[in-house]
Amino acid sequence: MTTWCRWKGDKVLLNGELFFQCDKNNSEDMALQLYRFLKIDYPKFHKMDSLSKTGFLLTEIIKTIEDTGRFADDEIAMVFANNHSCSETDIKFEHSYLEDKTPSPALFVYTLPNIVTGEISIRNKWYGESAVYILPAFDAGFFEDQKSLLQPHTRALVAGWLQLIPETDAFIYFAEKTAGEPFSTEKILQAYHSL
Amino acid sequence: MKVYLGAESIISPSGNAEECFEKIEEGIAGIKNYCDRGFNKESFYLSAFEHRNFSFEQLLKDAILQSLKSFDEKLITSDKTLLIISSTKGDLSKGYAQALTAPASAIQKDLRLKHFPLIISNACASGVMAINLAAHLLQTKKFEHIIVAGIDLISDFILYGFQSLYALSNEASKPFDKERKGINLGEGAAAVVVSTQPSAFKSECYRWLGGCTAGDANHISGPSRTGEGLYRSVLATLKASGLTTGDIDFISAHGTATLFNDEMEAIAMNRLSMQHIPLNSFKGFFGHTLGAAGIIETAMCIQSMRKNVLLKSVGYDECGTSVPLHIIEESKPCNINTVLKTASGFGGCNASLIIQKNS
Repeated sequence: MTTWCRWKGDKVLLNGELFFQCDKNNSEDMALQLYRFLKIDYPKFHKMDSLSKTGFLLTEIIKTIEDTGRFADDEIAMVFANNHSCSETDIKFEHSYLEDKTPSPALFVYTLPNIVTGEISIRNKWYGESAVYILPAFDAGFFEDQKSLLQPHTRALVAGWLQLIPETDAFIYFAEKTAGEPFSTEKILQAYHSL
Repeated sequence: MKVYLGAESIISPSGNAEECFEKIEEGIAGIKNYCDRGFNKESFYLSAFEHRNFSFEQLLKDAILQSLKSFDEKLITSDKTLLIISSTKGDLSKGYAQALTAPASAIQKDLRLKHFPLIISNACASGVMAINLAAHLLQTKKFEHIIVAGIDLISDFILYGFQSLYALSNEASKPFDKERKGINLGEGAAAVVVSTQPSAFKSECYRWLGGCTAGDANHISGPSRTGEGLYRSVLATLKASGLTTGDIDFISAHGTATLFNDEMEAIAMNRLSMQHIPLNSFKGFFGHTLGAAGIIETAMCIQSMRKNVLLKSVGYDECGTSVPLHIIEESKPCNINTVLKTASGFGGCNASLIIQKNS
């Protein structure tokens, strides 16, 4: 594990240091504040659902330290998990047909939890492997196991936990097969519990 | 380490694995016209259970227990056994946030499993990815046996969603055909067992040789026009299996019968120089069963190998892709030794796996 990023509530830590804190007096939500803070110009961000925005922003933060461009386009894998799938967007889509009487295709396409990997892969032109799992709770052991499940051509991994309910409780790390500190359950737990 | 799979089971509106095999071979339709199921009471062709007098959990459990009839069933409670569940939406009656974890928890208690089931929810590629995940997990030696179950049910949520994308056909779907108009949704459950111990199977088991996933990096709800992710996935799977395209006897394609998906697959198969290999889509019979599709279709690949029959691609009459494919127009006997199964899904994910006779 070479870099990790933790977003809980109104704070974001990068490798244990405060990276960003939400301005409560700003009427924009935290994801949009963070987007502006990162000085990203990527109009597609604005149509993403909250799960995709969270994964997208955390990956962008990782990239402020990690030069992901040194890898070939299929050498970076993505593995994300959470405990509630894309339920926030599911509820919004249900609302579109039950209350607004028009099923919204723009919402429906985000009612799959793996769309976040699609958004990040489009942004970065990453053609590598990716997977999304639903676990009952954050499980550091699960993330440790990922290193032995990667395809032979995969050299690096962006992985983490993207929980949004009841508040944002997310953790993403970047790991390389042959560099950085070996990532263990203990290291992942330590990083996760830093906030 | 060698990985084996078998003990396939299917519970679909058209019956179990053997019944479905016979119906496809005999040309009996698996899908029907359902009036009034659309958002504005439109009719759609579906593969749906006539009377859903069972719960999601019951269907999942039945698929698992049916599979275990062909496996050493006492291993189910072993510490070395894991259940992987592949589903896109889970059991919506449990609420959206618990739709996947609640049935997983219930089935763990019911079947007295040692481990909480691992849930993969990766759109329509979930099933193929779940089988590959099982094989990769076995290679870590943490587990010896993995039951891989796929399940999805048709709901208003899913139906209205696909309808809003104009992806559904109001006729029986025709994968890869010139007149194809879109998807028929399907529902059902299926299971296979993936194990390191061939002796634990009560019927013939097959070798899993390799499986890989790749992204399109192109669009979240449309396939790549160049078939990039599928092309990369199949290349990596061939490499991981130590095989070349010439070793593949049969391809079970994704074949949803949308204009763009089938065209994408034809382009990818031509880029791979695999357009001459007999290929079908099982979705003309089962409909698109989403998270269950990869397991149902892999189970049908195993059935095809058991019976040495290439099953016809239901709904296909005339080439409807810009580059040709060798679509199986009539079921016929053929010694099927090695099979490639592919799947693609929203999010631009593509997965493939290769299985082979164990002899």
